[in-house]
Amino acid sequence: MRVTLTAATLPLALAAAMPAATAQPAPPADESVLGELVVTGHVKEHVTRLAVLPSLAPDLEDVVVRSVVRRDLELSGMFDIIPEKDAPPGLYGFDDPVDVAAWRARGAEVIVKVAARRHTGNKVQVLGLAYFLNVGSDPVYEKKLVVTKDAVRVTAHRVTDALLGAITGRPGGFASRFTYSGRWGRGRRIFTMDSDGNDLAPISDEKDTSIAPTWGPNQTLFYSRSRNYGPFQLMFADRSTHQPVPLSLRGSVFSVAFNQDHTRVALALSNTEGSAVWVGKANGEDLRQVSTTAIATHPVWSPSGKLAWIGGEPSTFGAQRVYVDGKAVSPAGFTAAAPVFCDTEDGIRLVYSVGVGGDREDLVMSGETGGGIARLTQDQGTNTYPACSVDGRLLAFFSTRKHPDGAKGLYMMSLKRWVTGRVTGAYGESLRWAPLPPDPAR
Amino acid sequence: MTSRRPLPVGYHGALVPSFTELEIAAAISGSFLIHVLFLVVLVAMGLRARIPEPERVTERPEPIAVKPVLDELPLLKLGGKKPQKLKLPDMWTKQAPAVRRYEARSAPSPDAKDDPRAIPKSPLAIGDAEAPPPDAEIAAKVDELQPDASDSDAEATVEGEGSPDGVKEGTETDPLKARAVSQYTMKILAWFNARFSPPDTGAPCEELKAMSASVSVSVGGDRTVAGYVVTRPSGNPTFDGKVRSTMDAIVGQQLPPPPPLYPDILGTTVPVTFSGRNSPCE
Repeated sequence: MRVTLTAATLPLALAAAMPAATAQPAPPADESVLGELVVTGHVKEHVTRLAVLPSLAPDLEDVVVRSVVRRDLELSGMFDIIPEKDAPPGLYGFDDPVDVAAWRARGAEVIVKVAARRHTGNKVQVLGLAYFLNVGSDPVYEKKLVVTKDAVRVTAHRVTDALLGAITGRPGGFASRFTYSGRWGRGRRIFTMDSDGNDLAPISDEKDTSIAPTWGPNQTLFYSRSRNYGPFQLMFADRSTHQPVPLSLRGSVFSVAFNQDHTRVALALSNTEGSAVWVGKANGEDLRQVSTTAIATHPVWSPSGKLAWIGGEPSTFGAQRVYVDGKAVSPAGFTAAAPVFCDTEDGIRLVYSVGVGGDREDLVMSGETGGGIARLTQDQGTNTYPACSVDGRLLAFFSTRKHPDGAKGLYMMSLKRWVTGRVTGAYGESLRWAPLPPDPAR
Repeated sequence: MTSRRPLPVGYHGALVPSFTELEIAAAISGSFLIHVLFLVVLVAMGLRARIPEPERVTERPEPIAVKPVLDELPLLKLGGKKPQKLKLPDMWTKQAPAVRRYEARSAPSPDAKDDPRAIPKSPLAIGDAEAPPPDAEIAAKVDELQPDASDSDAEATVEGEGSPDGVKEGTETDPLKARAVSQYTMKILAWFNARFSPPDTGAPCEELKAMSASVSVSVGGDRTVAGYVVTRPSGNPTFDGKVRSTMDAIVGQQLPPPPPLYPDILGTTVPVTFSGRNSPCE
């Protein structure tokens, strides 16, 4: 069997399937660069003390850039950020120098300065600086950008990502966005929003029931739509255009997922017994069934190319487990749902939710193939639909835990420091997190 | 001659009947009598017949001697298959930060009592030392914090490219890469530390804390620990056995990935020294 994509999607899939440029062979690593490791059995965590310079500028763009960068750095959970009230007195204008000695006296190890000011016409100049106080008083990283006013917020996220790359060697993942399926009257709609909860927007038609969104080649949004109680049909949305993707296979499309380089696709399709997961090329060729259980749904690819899905028996409680490449890896007896892979600083991890009784779910994390399970949430409402940031440092999920701003919402957990913060009050299902398209200006 | 009725068209049967009315009546009467006679005989025989009742054999109980013999195998425990209570591991929770303790010091105060017996015996505070917070934990002796090397104002004595805070043996001139290497080194170190605990037996505590063994760890292309060679054993069989068992368990596991911007900083061999410095011995 094969799936036929429309003429509109085929070029996208083929473009995504283009082989990457031939990479030069990596030079041999310098084995002495790490030095001698002295292992004592004592685990100690060092948290970098970081200062984000305050600003007294009244310009809106300056306030936006600085507040966005500061909040992103706080959400990353990687730093002990010095409170603004502890800032030494001084000048904090766009061109004012940084008083490195004064910040060193405050205990800062890294100083970050971001600022923005009006440029010519509709343009804004954005500045990002980073100082390592063990290196000297000169900045180790500096970036100046000129962008349009409507791109200031996104640029601030990109500046954060670049600063994180300079400070840690791993760029951040804040220049990204969410998509999920949320309730809308009696049906469900597809929504998108920025990684900080800003710019929430409905995408699909309010008269339809739309579920299971994901991003495919060239940032195209795919989802499943049911109209007038009909079967779920695979759709793709390119800007304001929504078109069905005709399939030669019959049945409802419950979920779709593309691998990291968008060369392969996995589909969860209904059949006479339940549902099955099919895998093939992104253009629909060589499609074959990979699941063997009565039901199989919610496929997701790992960065290394492994495929996970939820499989099992439909009527038995606890019989739905996470399968990775055909092998059940989640604990038996717990109903598992919504697996996702995270490319963390410690390697690839598998995160999914399990039913813990009382109509509640909690999140657990394990190795890529299921070993070394650890619990991420406990006694904090129900926690569902995890999604990982591009850099693997953050885990977003829906939760019903108690919070002053409301019961339900989207939360973000640092996989580095294990602290959790509320992002927004949006609540739904099938959360996915993907990077924004590359900046066209560069 | 008797007149005959005309026959219907197409009739081809006998022209004269086979039996007379008297013969038919006699046959019916005979048949009826036979059935009645059979019924009478059947009822009469049934009333006479008797079915003999089978004899009941009554067994008399006879006492016998029973000698109990214990089975060598343990008896099975009575019980059914109850559903096992499944449990997930508890969520990791961050430990509370360590309490900062202040050393007990005395300082002149206008509120002091005018009584020589009330003079505190703790040593005097030096200079304009800052008073501890009212709710601070007080200890008799607190080790001074080591000054951070980054606080040093010493001028660089070596000319050329590099950092004033660098070391003579340093080779990295890119401060961003140097920091990334430093952080990755700490990550690898934490990875090994989480898998090694020094022994607390096998030698006097002071000797255990001074022991160390060096290992050269081979790393495969997918960051998997492929093998190891003990390049310098400690000489203590207990300590060396602990190092070997640790490394045997580590072989096959995957080291954390290097930062994406510097993927080349993890070589094919990693020199590791296992130290007994933090042995839990007493």
